[in-house]
Amino acid sequence: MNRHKVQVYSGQIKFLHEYFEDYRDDRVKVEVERLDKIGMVLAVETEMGGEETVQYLKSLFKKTKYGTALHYSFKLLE
Amino acid sequence: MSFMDRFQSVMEKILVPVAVKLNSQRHVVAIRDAFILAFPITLGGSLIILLNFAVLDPQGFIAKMLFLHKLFPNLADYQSIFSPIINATVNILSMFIVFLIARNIAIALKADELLCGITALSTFFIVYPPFQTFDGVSYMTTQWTGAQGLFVAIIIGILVGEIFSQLSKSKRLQINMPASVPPAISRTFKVLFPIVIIMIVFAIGNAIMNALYPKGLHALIYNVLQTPLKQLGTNILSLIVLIIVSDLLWVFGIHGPNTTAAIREAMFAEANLENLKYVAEHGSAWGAPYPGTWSLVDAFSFYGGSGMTLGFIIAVFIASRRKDYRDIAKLSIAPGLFNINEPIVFGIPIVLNPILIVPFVIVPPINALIGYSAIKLGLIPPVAYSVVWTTPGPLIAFLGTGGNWLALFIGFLCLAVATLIYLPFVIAANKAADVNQNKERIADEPTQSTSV
Repeated sequence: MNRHKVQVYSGQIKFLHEYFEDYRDDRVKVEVERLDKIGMVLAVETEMGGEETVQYLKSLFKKTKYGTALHYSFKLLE
Repeated sequence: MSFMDRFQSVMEKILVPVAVKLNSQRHVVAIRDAFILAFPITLGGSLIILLNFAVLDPQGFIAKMLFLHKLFPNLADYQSIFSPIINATVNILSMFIVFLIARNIAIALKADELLCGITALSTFFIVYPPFQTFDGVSYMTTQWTGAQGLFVAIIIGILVGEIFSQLSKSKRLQINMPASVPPAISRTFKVLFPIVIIMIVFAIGNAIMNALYPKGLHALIYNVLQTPLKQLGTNILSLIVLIIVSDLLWVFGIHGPNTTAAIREAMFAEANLENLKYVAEHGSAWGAPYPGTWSLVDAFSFYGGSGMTLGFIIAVFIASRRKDYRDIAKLSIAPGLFNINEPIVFGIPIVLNPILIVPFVIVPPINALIGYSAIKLGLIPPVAYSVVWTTPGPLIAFLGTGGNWLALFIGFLCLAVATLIYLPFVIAANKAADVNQNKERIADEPTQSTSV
């Protein structure tokens, strides 16, 4: 099992935080490690590699109703 | 709660739901995505037109630079090879759009998207002006297959997308074939009745329309809806308002370009295509009919991305003494050259930064006005060629005007103006960041001494 840290930024971080807080599915287990005004760090447990995890998380949020409305970025930290 | 926090809270309560609604409303999304999907066709057409006149015209800027006109005396003769491309792209854009909008709606409503798109295209020609016969040969006017037919394409695409998707779900209208029948055949029979109903309804509607307004639906929609909206869109004030709204949404974490895309396309698509058609016919952007389109914004106002953040990066290098600012600016140069600004927008950050919001919002409209004034004064031609938005800054102005060197210079001038406007705000943001850092240090000190 891999453990990645993903930095997420958005001016509307509240909506991303609400979505990813304790998010679980059969591919990822997500915990919000740190949260501030425009960013948060996610600790992700997964079988996937780092970049694949980032793309997966991004695609998850993109499918929500906020996905194309908000401006955000995901970046692999470690 | 600070003013900024209160303002952000208001934005969150009002603008986020509006942006969410606009970005999830299926008709708006269908229109936006249809233009996005058709973009490679118009861009491809535009690039080839540009090459045709830049390389194969003896007066073209590349031909002159490389002395091609001297190497190949019959250079202009080769232009006719690529001339048909305008007919296969810009001049039939409405046909792509009607298909794509109906298809997108069918996808959203989980109907058969391919047959829905084809039905919409077929319906577009049911309401099309009748063919004319001369000397026993039928002719169809191409007046409404390109830019001028866009609004009818949008309306037909939406109507057919909705009606087809709803009717095809009705079990009573489905013809179910035995399992032994090949899938392609049973697929077409399943939606046969909805297609026939749509054709009959639109044919009757078209006959009534022609009786009431003999010039036909295309002419009616063009005069009543499309022309006023085009005039509104190509007005410089509308352009400025749209830039400000887009940038303002951006700094509050809402995707401005996505949210305004459908409105922008409806307002500027025809004018952009008319400009492109003009250059294809005249071989030059000089005299193109619409100086104020969204291409002007990409050409002079969005270097580095929304907010013209390339100017901000340069201002940081000139005026910032903070190492963190300079480090982020260094990391942001490479993506910034290709108009991607996430590293600088979130790194500094500019998002929700009460000081930097001001230049981020005011720089693009000022530069759009500079570019627009240069066109209106006859210094440079309108930005008539489509150029992909990731092209480095001033090159968009240069290529968009068909290789005008003064446009390139004005592009650099706009970059200088952006840098000058950003400079005092960078200094102020530095001071504010220093003050915040000192406050945090003071707040930490008692804790440290207690722990010691």
